[in-house]
Amino acid sequence: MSLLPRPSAARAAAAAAAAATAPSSSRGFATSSLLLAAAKGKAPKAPAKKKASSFAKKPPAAKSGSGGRASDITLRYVEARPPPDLGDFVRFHPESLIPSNIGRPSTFPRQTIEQLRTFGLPRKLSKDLDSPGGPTSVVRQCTLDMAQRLDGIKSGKKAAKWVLAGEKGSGRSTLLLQTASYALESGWIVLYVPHASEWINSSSPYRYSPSTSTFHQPALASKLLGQLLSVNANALSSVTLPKSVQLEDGREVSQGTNLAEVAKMGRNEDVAVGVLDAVIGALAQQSEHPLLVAIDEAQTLFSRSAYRTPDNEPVESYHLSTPLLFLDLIAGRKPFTSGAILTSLSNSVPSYPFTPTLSSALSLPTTEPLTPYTPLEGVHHAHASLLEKIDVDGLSTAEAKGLFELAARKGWSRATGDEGFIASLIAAGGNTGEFARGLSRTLVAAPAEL
Amino acid sequence: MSVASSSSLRALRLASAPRFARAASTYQPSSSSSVDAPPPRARPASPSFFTGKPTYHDSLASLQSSLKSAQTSLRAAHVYPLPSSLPMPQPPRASWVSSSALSTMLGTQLRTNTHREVVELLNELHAVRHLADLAGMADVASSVDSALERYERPEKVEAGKRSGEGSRVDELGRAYAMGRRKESSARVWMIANPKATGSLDVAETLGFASELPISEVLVNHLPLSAHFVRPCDRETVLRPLRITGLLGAYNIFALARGGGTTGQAGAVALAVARALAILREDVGDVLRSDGALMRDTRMVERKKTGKPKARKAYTWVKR
Repeated sequence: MSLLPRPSAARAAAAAAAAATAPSSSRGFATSSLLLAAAKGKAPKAPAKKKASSFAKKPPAAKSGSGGRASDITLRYVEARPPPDLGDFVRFHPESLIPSNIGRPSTFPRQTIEQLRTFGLPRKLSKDLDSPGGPTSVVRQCTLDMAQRLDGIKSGKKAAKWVLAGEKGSGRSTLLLQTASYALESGWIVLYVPHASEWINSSSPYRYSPSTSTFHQPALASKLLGQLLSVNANALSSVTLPKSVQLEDGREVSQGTNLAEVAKMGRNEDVAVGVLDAVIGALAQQSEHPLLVAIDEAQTLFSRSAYRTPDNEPVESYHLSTPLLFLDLIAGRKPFTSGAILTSLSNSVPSYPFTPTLSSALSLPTTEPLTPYTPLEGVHHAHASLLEKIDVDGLSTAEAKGLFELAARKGWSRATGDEGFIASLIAAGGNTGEFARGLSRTLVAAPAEL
Repeated sequence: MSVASSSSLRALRLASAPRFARAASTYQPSSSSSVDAPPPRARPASPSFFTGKPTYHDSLASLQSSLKSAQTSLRAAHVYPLPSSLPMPQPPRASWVSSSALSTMLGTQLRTNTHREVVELLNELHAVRHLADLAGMADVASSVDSALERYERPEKVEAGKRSGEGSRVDELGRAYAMGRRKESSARVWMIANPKATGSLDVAETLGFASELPISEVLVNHLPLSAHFVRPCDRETVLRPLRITGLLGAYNIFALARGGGTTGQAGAVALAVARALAILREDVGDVLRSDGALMRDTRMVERKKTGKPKARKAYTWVKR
């Protein structure tokens, strides 16, 4: 397989290069002016508001269970009752992923979920993840399949690049979270990205770097390094740099330096991008600890970003340092010895729908026909075609039964009894998200007990 | 004879008028009794002769009297009225002649309210007849029978309607039905779910929820959850199956057109109920009592002149 050449942002950013070589160009181009204004302290302070006395006293965060965050101030109906005791649920450990547990609701171990919370958790799953009783999920057949795939990688198979595809509400984000949790407990080094759209929606500063001909995102790189270090400190300490690295400010990090030390250097945003590059490259090359890169909202890696060059030309995702780093791993431009890149497409980001290029590359079902005259973006198409598609199917009856029980125990299910179960399952047509939604929004009263 | 006859008036007039000596007058007045007396009239047979609708009143009076006599007989036998703790026995479905035929029979164009009153009286008689049958009082039952005979629709028409052309299960086992709601219309084909056979035995051997029979529902070639975004619309569509306890028993293919989401949901639901009534004879009563087989005739009311909408009025201004 011929390696894809590194797409260059040089042509698109020619004017940027000219501007960047000006003497006082240590700062890049302002993107999010609010961000920079806030950093400089120019934003006016909001007038101190009198604390309104309210009738409803917010209940204290649930002490039992591994959920119920103290920072969550929204009073929800489910919080009006005592938190449910989910002690009889299966704990989501690697040894619990056995065929007899398929369809059983399970709770995530508290420590693992707190570690994943460092990376951030998907907002659309916050209904379950932040509810009293703790984060839960149902063990599905696809969970076991993913665990088996990870075990295969760990035991010596080649590094894999997967993409989770399926209809809206099929459970891809939850599966990604389950896989990240499994990997973390199995000794993998995990980098979990719940919202990859934050990489390209121009919410973090960017500046053009002539040396790499890409747009660097220093704040983002620094943040990722901090998260990686905080979650995988032990594993990073045991890995060393395979060869010396030259950083942007001229410093050189010698070969054999502990990766944890290298990652700490990333706190300085000036060198963060180079440090992230070096750390990820080193992790991908070693085979002692397999690396899992779990990226949700992955269609943003293959679409146009919201950034603009000074000439107001659009910037593609592969022109930005952070997406490009992982696209290098996908395309094979950087060696990836042991580990996996697991991406998941998301239907919950309306700003970044699936482009015809992505649909064509991954053979996704589309409502608009793809003809030979449909314009496709070559680089994105080439990158996306290298991913191996994994289809996430609908609910089986046992899995639906587990989800029904989970919803009932957590207290947000209105459907009761066999009739409510079957009716919700038929109404959802096997779709996981619609099944859960139907349970909480059903208007049919339970039949009277005779 | 309270009124003086014309002949006697004439006689009075002649007597008071001055007498002329008209010996040669040739005018001969006719005899008084043959012209001026009214023809003899027969006494009317019924007191309602002088009403505007004699046949109607007569028929109603005879029905009411037969009802009264039947009720009296049943009361004497301590059968009527039943104690309130006992459930009221439901008589078999009665079919009366059409409104137009009833109008002809009763000799007057029946308006809606009048027709309803007549039908209510007939239904009361029908219920009393059923009660008499159950009590074994054949004479009472036969007397009510004879009173109701002319008002009942002949049986063969009803049987013919049941096995009409469009209400059969075709050679592939599909039932086809149509439904409408507001501006929407839907066509539905229903077929038995091949996975839903003899599940009572299967559940024992394989354990709960091994593979429950799940209905597949396609509306305009999309799954139910994809076509109807609101969960309550999906529940509307599945309600006929739910109330008959047949969730999972049939697969549904529907084509809906026109109107909006809720209108299409109602149309599909009506069509599903009709198709279900074709497929199974035992569910018709349940569906009818739920109202699932009734076409909801509510339509958007037209806008009227002088008003911004059908009912909303412009702000009243005193002057």
